[in-house]
Amino acid sequence: MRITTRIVVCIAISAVVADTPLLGQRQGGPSPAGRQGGPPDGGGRGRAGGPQGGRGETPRDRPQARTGTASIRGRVINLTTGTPVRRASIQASYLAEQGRGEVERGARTTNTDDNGVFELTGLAAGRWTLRASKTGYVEQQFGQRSAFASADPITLTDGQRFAADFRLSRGGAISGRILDEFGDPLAGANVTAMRLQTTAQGSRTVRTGTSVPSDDTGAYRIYGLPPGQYYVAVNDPSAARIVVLTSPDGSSELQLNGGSTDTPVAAERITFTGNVSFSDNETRRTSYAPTYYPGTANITEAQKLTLGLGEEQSGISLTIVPVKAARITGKVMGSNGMPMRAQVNLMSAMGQGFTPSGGRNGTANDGTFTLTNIPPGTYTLNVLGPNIGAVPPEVASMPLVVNGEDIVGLTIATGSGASIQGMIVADNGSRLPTSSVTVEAVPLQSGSATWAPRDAADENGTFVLEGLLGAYSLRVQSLPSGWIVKSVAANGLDVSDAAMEFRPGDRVTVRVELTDRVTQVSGSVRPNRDVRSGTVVVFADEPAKWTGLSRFVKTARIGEDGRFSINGLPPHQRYIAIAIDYVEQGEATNPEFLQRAKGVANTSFALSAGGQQVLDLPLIVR
Amino acid sequence: MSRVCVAAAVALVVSTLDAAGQPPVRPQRDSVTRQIGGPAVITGRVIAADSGVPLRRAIVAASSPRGFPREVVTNDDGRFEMPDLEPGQWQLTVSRSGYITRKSGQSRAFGRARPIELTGGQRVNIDIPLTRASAIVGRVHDEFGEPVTAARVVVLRPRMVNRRRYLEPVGDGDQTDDTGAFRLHGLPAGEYYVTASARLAPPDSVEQTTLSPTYYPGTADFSAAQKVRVAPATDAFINFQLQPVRTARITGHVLTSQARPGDAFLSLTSDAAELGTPFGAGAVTRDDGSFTIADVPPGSYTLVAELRSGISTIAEIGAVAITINGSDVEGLSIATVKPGTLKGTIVADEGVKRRLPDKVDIAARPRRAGAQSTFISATGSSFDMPAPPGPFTLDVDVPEGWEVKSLKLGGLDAAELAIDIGGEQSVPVTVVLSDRTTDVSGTVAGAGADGAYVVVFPSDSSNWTGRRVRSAQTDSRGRFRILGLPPGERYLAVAVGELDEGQEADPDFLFQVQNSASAFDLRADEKRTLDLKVLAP
Repeated sequence: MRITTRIVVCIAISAVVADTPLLGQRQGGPSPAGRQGGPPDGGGRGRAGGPQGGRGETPRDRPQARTGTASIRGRVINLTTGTPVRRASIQASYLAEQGRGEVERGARTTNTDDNGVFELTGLAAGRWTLRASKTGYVEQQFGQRSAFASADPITLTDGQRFAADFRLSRGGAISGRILDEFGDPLAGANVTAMRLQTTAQGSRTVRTGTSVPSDDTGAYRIYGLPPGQYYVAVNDPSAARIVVLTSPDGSSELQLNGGSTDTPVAAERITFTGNVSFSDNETRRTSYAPTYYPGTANITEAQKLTLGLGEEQSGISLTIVPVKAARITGKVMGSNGMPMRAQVNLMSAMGQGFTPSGGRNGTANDGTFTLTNIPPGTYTLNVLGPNIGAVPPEVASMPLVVNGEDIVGLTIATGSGASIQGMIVADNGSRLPTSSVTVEAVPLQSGSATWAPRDAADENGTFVLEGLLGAYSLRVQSLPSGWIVKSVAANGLDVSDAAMEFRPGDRVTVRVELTDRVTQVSGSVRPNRDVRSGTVVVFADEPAKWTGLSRFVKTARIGEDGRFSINGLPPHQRYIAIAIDYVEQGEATNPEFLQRAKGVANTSFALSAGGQQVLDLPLIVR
Repeated sequence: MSRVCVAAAVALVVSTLDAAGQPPVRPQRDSVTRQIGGPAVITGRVIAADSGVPLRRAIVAASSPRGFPREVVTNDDGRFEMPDLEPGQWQLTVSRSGYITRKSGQSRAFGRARPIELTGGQRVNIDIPLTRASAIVGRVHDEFGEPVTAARVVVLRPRMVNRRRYLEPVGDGDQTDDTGAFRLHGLPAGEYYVTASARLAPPDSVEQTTLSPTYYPGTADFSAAQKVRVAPATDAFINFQLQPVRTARITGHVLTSQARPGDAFLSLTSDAAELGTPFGAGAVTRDDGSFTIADVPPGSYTLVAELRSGISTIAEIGAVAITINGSDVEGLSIATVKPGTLKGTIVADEGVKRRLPDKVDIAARPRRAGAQSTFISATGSSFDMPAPPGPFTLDVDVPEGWEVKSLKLGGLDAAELAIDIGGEQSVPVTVVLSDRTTDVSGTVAGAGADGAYVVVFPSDSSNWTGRRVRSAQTDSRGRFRILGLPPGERYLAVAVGELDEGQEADPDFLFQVQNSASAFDLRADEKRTLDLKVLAP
């Protein structure tokens, strides 16, 4: 086993006080941009919906919103012009408790009228989220201070008449033209605006909105974008069938003119490739890698576009980069030496996944698989065998560098992977009711062909996790009340804030130490003018700890009473606290954000095991 | 051997430039080199019709009942090769952005496509010229002058289907962006209707406004719609306003024939579906048999309730016609009944000596747009088939040498009329077959005579219905034959180089050609020979 510190282990304590990611369920924020899946489909395609087609819209399939006596009335105006936004969609979602969090259960919707006014009546008392949206505008949740920030739900009491006004801003737009390598317009390419967002795996581009196709002149326009920084990426869906004919000797001039008929010799020497049949040795396929503005296949060379509120950037044109795409064929063999049917997933370093085209993301019955149209890059090929009964599935993982040449005839032998023998103990030696505790190994590389074993600890606190391969973090859940994870040690080494990397056959002993000396940071926030709501961010003054879902960085929403509370921070000699009106998704672990937060914060303190800290913070408005 | 191959090649050959200025798809006759059995090959080149420049990255697709579909892309020299094709009929479709998609056998846009007949081991080499496409470009706005975002804009052209005129979508349509702009590309030159619509109201909204399907230049009424004229290889520019309408909600319940709450699928179909502006909505009943369909724009509809029983069988069915004009429809009651049954008898006409044909195909076609037809192949002298709800017509297809002398449904003439028999009834159908058919045959002369179309129709335009309007394609020698025209009528015959699918039933077309047609009378059993010339386009 190897211990890597690049990624911080995420342990259950983070879940206890974590920001409820309301927006996380609707990742990508604005729904409207783009042409796929928009609500209107009243066009001419397809005759009327038959019985089957209509089922999706039936009341039976949709959870009914609870009814009651509260109401919400408000007006939606354009942020910049102050004019009413007509025919905006208003959605109120009832929040029901589920486990530790809340989920949206049932929704009520309406449209604004010609004056931008809406009203929803007959609402049940309770917690609701309220959103206003209109295609071309940035969707807004009531109380939300930035497009990607989370916001508080509203609380309705019986008979209450709640007033909720929205100021919607028109979304920004990016437009331009896509050309191929000959300078001809490329039609039907997918153009996507992407945002950079921090995740547990580090920085990642996140797609926002939807892709738009380029038209016959190569032109595209992505709209409805919230302000922020974007990358523009182009993907050519027809790349899979782009074929180029060449003769075996490489000369492209072939005598195939219609008049000179008897050219069967030349004709037969042509190698044909396509998505149906091809001959292996003489194949040349041109493909297009995902190309980023201003025209590079390498995202590190991509240029970020900064889009202001409702801003339009035109002329974002780029020439798609032709690359030689490779084909990878192989066969999966089980540890018994027999071909095995398995899931296969090829993951790029940027998190783009490829699966075999046939056989539902996996191999054929004889264990063979073909991955087509793989652009050059560094990959990990993951294989996950079938999960039968109590036996952990066989797994395999191998690094793969693709450089345009086909990789033919890989043989991948699966094995049983690594295993963890685990033990949960209390730091004070007391005996704990551990039988409710579950431990899950969370693969840090997503994709369909990785195994995420979980086990429930027995009354002695022992647990077993098998079938591990690659980098994992441990998630410990359902702890006894009042206890949190103090540390995690693997083969005697502290991995509380590290990922564990497993190789086949590793047997690792893991010791999870719990403590009931839970630190608590709480206090109140002084409102700033009319702004009362926001988020408190507490983080260790040590940039090395600002990674992933670090235990040393925690956030909490400021309650309606102006108070907050954060439990379970590990002891540290210097923490910094700041109250701010909004924090975007994933922003709290972004080192740039924390560096800026450190610059404006003026509250710091030390935290010892079981220590308590009461703070009085001013609310900073961005 | 070469005879076979030449005949195969003929399917593609049209010898002159046609009206649209598009040179024909023409295989090189002498490119047919050998026939040794085994798979066939199509090779060729895709070029620009105007300049002759090879077109790279054109997509050549082939489909056949004999093998799985193929698709290849042309290389930098515009060339493609499609090997390993099973012998048989292959339909080629060639497309490239900026050009008009073309099918084999088509010498003009929307013309009838014809497959290529491949024999074993054959190599066919084809040059395929593509014509530059036009586009309709514009913006849509609402009644406040604001751009309508995410409206669906569709190009439509009239087409005859089952002897009825439909507006058929051309291309994929487009969705407007945040400036209300759309671009409908890949169009052949011609005249089109353009319609745009946006459904804005959420499914259970309180305030129900939407933007109705609106035809250029800004009308919800098709009779006031204007065509957009599109010149070859140019962009036509249009702007228009979408019409706001108030949508309605339909609530009601379904009751079965046992007077129980129905567990039913509901489908609401716009009667304007044939005008290219279909609105379809569906629902299922709640446990108490009640249902709600929200946000229905004004218009005439048929609401059908089908009880959910088996996978494909319909236990009970009910239908009501509804007109929506902005107000909600509440408390609608739909009673379902078992579908009616047609009890058919096939009998021979007096004097017929031969045995009745082994197989007679019968189709019951609802008049309601978008509704499913029911079919049966009768193999004996009687048949049972379920009747569709609402008015329908019966089509009877008999083998060559036979004709339907009469078709009676419950005493009514079902050959010409649409009939609604209601539910739960068993209605007798009598099909009288005769083997004394009329026989009109002949030869077409002139350029393009092989593969030309002969259209025969009554001189009296009030009789332009059913089996009296017929078409046939000539063979490689220009010969044609039409059997079973109803006798006792004065007919007109005309030969044309191109005929769209179903176009012979289009009255506009018949009025256009009737003055150029040759007239003849047809008596019972009469065999008549005609000599025709291909009409100049």
